[in-house]
Amino acid sequence: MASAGSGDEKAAAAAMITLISSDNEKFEVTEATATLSQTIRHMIEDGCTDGGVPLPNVTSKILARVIEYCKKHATAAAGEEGSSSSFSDAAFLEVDRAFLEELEEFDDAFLEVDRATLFDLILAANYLDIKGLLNLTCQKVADSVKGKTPEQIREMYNIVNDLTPEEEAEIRRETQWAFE
Amino acid sequence: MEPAAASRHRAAAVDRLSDLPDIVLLEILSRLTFRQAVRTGALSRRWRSLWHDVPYPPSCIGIDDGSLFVSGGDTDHAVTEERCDDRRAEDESLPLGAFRARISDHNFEMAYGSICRALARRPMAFSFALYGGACTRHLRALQLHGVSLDRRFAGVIADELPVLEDLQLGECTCSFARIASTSLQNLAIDDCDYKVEVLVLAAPRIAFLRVHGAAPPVASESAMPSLVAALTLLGLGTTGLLDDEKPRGFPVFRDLSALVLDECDVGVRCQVLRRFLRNCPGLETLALRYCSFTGGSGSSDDRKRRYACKKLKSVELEYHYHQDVSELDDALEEIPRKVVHPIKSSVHDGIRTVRITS
Repeated sequence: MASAGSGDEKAAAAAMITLISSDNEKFEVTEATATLSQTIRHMIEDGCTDGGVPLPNVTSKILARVIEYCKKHATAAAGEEGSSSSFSDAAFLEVDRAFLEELEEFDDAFLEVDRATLFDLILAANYLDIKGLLNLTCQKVADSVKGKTPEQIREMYNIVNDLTPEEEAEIRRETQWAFE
Repeated sequence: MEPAAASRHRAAAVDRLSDLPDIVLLEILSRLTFRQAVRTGALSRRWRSLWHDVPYPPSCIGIDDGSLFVSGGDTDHAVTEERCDDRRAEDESLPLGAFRARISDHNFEMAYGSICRALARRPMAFSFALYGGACTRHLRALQLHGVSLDRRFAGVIADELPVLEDLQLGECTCSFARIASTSLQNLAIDDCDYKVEVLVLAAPRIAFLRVHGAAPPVASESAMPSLVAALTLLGLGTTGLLDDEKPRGFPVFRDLSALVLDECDVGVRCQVLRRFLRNCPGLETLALRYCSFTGGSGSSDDRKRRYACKKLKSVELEYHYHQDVSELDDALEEIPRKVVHPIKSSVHDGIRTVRITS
């Protein structure tokens, strides 16, 4: 049954899905793009995408960026079309190296956003359950706090220290080895 | 346009990082080294214990070489900071910053070697979690010595040790506040260092309880109807011993036959002792060794009440030479006469070691 090329045909014939942002803007995307989101994948599987998928937590600005990411990465996953899971690490490694590099460059450029947008992207990736995008954005935040002291992190992210001096001293005492 | 501008404006004032859901923050923390993740605990209340739940991939051993010591030096460290994998753990012979393992049941034997090697490298922090439950589900006796048990240990006892009968903790650092178990029968806590204000026991089947060393006040949520064998409390501090503030807060030890209070502070006007006497109807032997009877003034409505321990056959009393025992004298007043009379006269005569068996 599964001859070479049948995957492509299937992909080409794939239905389009309409995503509706919180501010009521409509985005038409291929199923392959949309299903990078596990949340949307489940909706498709449950057959409840007729008339569009409302995404009340995602603004059009952010949704446009998310779709941009998914489109790019859906191409990478195209080889796996028809398998039930999103692309695995193993499959990922087999993708052409040049394409991987291109994808990496895309990701780097994609992350060139202000902090507010980064947090919006994280929330959208979490809500839509897009693993790759969540990994990417969380890594960016993690990189930003690496090697920083608690004071520096607080300043960077406007974190209000609501610990009493005693509590903070206690925490530092309990985990002293981590502060040495 | 507006929403974007608005959110940018908001970001200048609010802490969007801390506003992220836990699951996302844990994603971020899991991308840091263990050491760095632990340090975020000092950011704010929101972050205080988040790092406790950082997910690690199943069957994966996470090692942090948080501060590799430069050979021999105790002060030069932090050569590298990275999370290593299994292979690295086995190759290295340097001291470890921190070792953390989360291991599923299937891989326990495989991981055992890594754990031993990691311990041999004198880690500054050791965290070991077994999950899956098959390893612990049948565990009836558990003895831990010299380990640090954080607040999650309460959950381990409650959820992962469903048939545990025998628990012994020795020289542990205890940051958990609760021992809740429906199966626990024997509990011994010796010379542990407590980080909690009060240790709550909710173990209705407990039959043997021993607390040695400076313990926090111990409170019981349930009566301990089967506490029959013995209760030995040694060196308990302060009058907070066994929650004596709340009405009905003091547990009833219906079948307790032996009570030993060793170097305990039995409270103002011996109220802790009084409560024991009142709540241990089956008490047969009582030993008070070098307890402190802190003086209190004024009258107490506890006085002139009959203690319930009618079965009391033997009382042993030892105290220091200069100790003021007038409070004790009062407290013992209503123990059934035939037992207490000889004690009272001994106390009056200043005899410091008394043993009476009727």
